[in-house]
Amino acid sequence: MLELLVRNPNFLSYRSCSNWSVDTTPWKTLFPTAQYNATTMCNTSFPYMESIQDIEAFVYDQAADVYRLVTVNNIAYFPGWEFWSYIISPETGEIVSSDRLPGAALATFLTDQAFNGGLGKIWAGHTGFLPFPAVYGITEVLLPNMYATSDMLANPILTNTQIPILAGTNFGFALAPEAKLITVLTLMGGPRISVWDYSTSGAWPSSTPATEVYYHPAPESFAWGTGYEDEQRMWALFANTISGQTADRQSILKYNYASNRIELLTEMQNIGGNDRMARICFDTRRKKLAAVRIKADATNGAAQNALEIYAPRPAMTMVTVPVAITRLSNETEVHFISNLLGTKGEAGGLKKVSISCSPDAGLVSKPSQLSEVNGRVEIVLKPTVAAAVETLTVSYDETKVTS
Amino acid sequence: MLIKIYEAANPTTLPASGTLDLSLESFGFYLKRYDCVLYTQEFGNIYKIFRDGSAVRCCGGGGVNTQFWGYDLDLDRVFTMENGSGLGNVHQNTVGLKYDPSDHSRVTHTGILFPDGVIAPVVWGNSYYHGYLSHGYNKYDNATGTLQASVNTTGILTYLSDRIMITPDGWFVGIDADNGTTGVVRFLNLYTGATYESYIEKSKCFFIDPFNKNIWSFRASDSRMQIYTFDVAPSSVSSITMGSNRKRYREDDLSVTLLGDRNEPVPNWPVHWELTTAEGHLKETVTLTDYSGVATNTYCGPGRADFVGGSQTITVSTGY
Repeated sequence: MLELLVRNPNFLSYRSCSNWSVDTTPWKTLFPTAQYNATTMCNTSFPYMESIQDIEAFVYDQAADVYRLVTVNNIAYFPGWEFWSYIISPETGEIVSSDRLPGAALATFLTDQAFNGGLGKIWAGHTGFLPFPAVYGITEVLLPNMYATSDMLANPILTNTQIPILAGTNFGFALAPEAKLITVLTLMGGPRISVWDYSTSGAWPSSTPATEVYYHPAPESFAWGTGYEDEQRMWALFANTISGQTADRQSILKYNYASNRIELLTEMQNIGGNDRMARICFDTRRKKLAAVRIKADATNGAAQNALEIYAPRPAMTMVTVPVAITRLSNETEVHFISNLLGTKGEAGGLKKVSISCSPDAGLVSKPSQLSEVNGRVEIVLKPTVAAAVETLTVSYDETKVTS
Repeated sequence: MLIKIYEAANPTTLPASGTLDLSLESFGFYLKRYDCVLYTQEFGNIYKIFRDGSAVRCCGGGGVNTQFWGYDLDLDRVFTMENGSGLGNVHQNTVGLKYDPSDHSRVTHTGILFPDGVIAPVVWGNSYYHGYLSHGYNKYDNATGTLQASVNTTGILTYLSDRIMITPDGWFVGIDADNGTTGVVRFLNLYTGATYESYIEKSKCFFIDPFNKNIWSFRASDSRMQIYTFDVAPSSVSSITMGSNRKRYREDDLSVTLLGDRNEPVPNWPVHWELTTAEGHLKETVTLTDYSGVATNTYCGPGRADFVGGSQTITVSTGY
């Protein structure tokens, strides 16, 4: 389980019907004859004028050092939806400001979602459905207004040709300096991560990505979001948990697209459950992972959405019983091994652990030491003068996990 | 019997699968990178089993048959095998490395071509070893597939489920988990040719940790995790044999044999020698047994001019 640092429940409140008239001004200008009836759309039992329908972007704006969340909101007046931009503090998870996105940005977000890429840039993918669902190209999104550039990247693969993605949920992930596009797909047989190298694919699209890794074995799970970490690593969040586990968790993995390896497979706790969708992005300055969770509205329509900030490492929940790896002897050192682990057996590397022995505390060679990268703690007991019965205890101080 | 250094208090249970059950197809290997066993019991479900018997399911779902795994000792990687007929069909002529579940992913490797009938191969250096339908283990060149040598497993590895592992210092370890009432373990040093064998309790499932030289076994009767070292537990010590010199300044060879509880030799065990009621000298105070379980020492008679031999008492002890 990832280590949760900050959770801000209800960070995003819906506007109530009492202020709806203010927001309709631009539409009244465009459509002066449109009729609005606050009484039928807003009433005391359902006092909110909006509800998030979809997340179009959740990115870390490196230059401004803020998270930017762009949503499509259902609203209680014509034309029934709006794009809204929220600026969120990466320190507190609080919304700093919010505003309706101008219409020029809409064309971008009608196509597909926006993602962080290399060099602090943000990209939006363009998808279509004929002859089959495919990513047509990638357009850079300009900050701070989240405008999409008018031209797609000047590359054969990104100008009106298709990446043949056949089905499932897909997420474009653009990395301009490395000329790579990474897609996270959920197809039959489970999610897969494909890396398409458009710097070398003159005849794009070939149907074969440069590298591909299958999330294995696959949970029946949709990819929900990606987060760019650096020029080697990215994160991918899936809607469901690792199969066989409780439903209040979602699986998340860290993928090294340089070496084509999944470096970490762990979970996010889905506090309160009831997620409609979630997205992640990576704060490249603080090295933190942020998640926005859109949950089902309360029965009166109130928002229940949460913003969470995680350390990009699993929380430790278990210390295994120390077991000898050499025969017990009073003439020689005896080596024991214990493992510091997370809920999925993730290794707790380079953590401080304490070791004690009773009644002869002096037998422990190193009462305090760091766990190895794989979570292993090797304990060396000194030889005893005579046969003895000792109790060995290993504990991880931060969470008081003891075994 | 090999020395059992740990036995879990409770049966090992797999999340959402109940108690470990070898009636289901299962495979696994110890991985240094996680310091645990990566284990699968059903198609696609992978568990991490740790040294104390605790288990977590780290991946789940369908899609890949992970029954037929191999292990790359140098890279500390598990791979699965497939051929043109699909994963797991090992009765073909071209079975290659394909998937790597050891980091929860599948990646395509350049295939090593295994011969027909390969089971649980171990890749080590430029060679790989694997079980064969003829119930032996063979060593192959992993680039060409050429047979380089055969490892004699007569009488030990008799069934396809028998498993081998190689330690980084060259011990070839083979286990027959169900050899009547026990499991038999055979050790062969690939450098020196030294061999010894012993046994463990009848096992339903076991793994060899080549780096720490441990055997992880799940006892057949109750699925409890047991850890064995490669050391044979001494059960009996023979009388000391001695030459007949026992004269002034003359040396006599001493030897003693350590046996396990099935009269198997106990190798590499320290034997303490003590001259309790005798004159003269012992060359060593502690010596190690060889692979026949024999420890040797030398007795030298005293320099006293009127020494004429007679009764001498020498004590040996094994100690722990």
